[in-house]
Amino acid sequence: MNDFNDELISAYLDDELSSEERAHVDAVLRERPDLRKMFTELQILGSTLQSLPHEEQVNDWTEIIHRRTKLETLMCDESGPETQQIERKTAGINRNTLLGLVGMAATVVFALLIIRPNWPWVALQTALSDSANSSVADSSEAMDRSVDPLDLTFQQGQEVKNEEIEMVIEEFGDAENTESVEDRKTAFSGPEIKRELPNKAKLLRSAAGGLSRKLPAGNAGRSDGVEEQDGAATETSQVPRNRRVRQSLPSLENKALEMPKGASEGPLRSFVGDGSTLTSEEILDLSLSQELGYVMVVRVMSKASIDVQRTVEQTLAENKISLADPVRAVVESQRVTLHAAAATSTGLQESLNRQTPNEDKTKEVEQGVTVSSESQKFLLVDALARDVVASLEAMAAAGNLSFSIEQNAELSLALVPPEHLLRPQENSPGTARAANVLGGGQDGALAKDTADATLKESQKRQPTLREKPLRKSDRDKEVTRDAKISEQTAAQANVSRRLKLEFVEEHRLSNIDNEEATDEDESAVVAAAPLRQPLPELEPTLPQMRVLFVIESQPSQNADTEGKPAKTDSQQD
Amino acid sequence: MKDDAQLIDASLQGDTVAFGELVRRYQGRLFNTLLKVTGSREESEDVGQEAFVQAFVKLGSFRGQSAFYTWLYRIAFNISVTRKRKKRVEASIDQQRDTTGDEPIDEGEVPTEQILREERAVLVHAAMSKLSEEHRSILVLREMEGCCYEVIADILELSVGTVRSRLHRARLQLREELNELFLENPAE
Repeated sequence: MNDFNDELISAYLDDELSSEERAHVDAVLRERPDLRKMFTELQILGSTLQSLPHEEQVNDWTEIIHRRTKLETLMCDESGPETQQIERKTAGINRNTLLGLVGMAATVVFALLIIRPNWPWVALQTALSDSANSSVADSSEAMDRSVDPLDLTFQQGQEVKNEEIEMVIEEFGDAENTESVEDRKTAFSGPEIKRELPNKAKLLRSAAGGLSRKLPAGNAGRSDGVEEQDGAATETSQVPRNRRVRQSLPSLENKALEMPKGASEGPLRSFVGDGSTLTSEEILDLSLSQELGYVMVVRVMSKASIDVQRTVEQTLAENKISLADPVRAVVESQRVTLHAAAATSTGLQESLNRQTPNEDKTKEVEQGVTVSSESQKFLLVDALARDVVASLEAMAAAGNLSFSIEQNAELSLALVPPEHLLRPQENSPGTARAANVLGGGQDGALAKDTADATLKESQKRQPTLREKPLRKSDRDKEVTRDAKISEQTAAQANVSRRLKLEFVEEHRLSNIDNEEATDEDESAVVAAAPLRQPLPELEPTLPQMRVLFVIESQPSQNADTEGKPAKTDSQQD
Repeated sequence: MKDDAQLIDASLQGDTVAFGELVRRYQGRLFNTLLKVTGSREESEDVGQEAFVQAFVKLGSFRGQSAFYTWLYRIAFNISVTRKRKKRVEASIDQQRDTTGDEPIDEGEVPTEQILREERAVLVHAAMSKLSEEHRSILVLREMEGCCYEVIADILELSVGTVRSRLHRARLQLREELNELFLENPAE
């Protein structure tokens, strides 16, 4: 009896013994008072624990769980839990981060749908290649279909009233622009378009469905705008140049104006975790849209995302959906790439170190930027995206190029060694890096002041986008030279990167916005639209950067000599 | 009312309402269990919500061999352990007091029994907080959740024998911590 295992007392108490063991313990308890005492105490202990009061759960988790699962769904390649068996690394994301994400996403989705009623179609449009005929119809039915019945969070308390809508029109001093503000207001107020949605877009739209359904459709005086836009669809020269039109809630607009460019808050960086599964329809650079008024879709460019794109295309094709593919001119510019990549060098390095001081820096990237976490990657992308957009804006300001709203950028996290972005003949390790340090990227955003100083140094080596536009001949030379450089460096470093600027006729996108655009108008433009160049395969194991913008641009009557870039060799990529 | 299996099936079909029902069904229980384990209301909410999200994401891998709650709790437990390892912060008695409220004071009007009950709860919580995470977890599962050894073993990924011995050690340790309580309340 002395070698009795007193663990059996606990098991006896829990009724987890076999009959033989129980009989044995019964016998021992009869003989040993110390074990009887232990048994009694453990009994009391158990009853004490069981009598502890239950704490009231203050918050109902249903709603937040719903939001979070929706977010998870949005971040997944496939919708629905049954297809999400790959464990997502979200355990490290705390509740506040996700809450912030959800809130921010909701806000931006809301803002986007105000700013761009046809969003995410423009973004989707950029993900499409060949287009056939379009089908445009009333949006309300489609929106009703896509609204998630559980999506109460987006439907409650966020109704947008007509009077809350304000059209924001920005002028760029274009002498040719003869439209009045009122004209433009009416011209821009088009309801949404009905299209069958691919799954991912449905999900995203579902998240915003409650909002978009409540957007006012067809404001007063709209017919004037229709006429204008219809006209623009066929007579591109009638569309005024150099304008940017935005539609926004006043509060959002004010916020956008007040937000400093260096603001560190950016949703991209909040998308920590499984960023590789995000697609262009799902990741929105909301900060850019808030700060600059642009909608910029950024996605991790990978082979997988190309496959996703093809899936989207296929889905649209199967549903006989087509988006008119506007006329595009593709320009490859090393300069923008260079400038963008430079933002990743110094200021961003500091920013990353400052914002994640405790994280182990484990992965050194060639250009000196340390990337050790998904959040840092997104910081990188965030800064890069900001820089690219700033470059584009500078290009627009200096180059008489007007672009508005829609860009679709695909970034492979900017893991681009700066030396790879320089001309080979200039590419010595030390000077190359120095030349690329253009600043910008502090606090994950542009720091123009610091950028300007370093920019001058860079400008000595080559022109930048901040310069005035080149003449056509010079531009052709520049592009040709850049193309050669690109080939050489790609061959040398086996790194693929390019920047494509796809200039889209603004009237075309405006017409898509327009519910009453006729099939005839649609097909006319479709017929005129060249096929979009397919995305080349990327080598997934190599660092690469790929930026693809689709920018609304004013069709220029003399596009060959003014802001509108000409088609270049890069189109042949 | 649909049972868990039906709700899970519906969730797998994309019915988020069904998953919401699962959340409603188990959130309170999970929260209370986690509260006993973590000792922190905030931590319990974080872990609990994260567990539901993970459960949703991994729902396709749930084979129904155990109860949904058992599976859910296992997820929550793993999340809790992961977070604990990350934070390396042990809940202190002070935190425990934050959770359960201040120790009862003599308010005169309050019935003695209530004071004693509250005081006992505070002491038990304090004693629990002194246990290791593994002891605390196994005690919660057994004493508060009423899980059998097999289920505990399943959740904690232990053998039944280990569960038995660990549970016994946990009880003995808690008994030591609560010795004073026992001395004051021998009849209970």
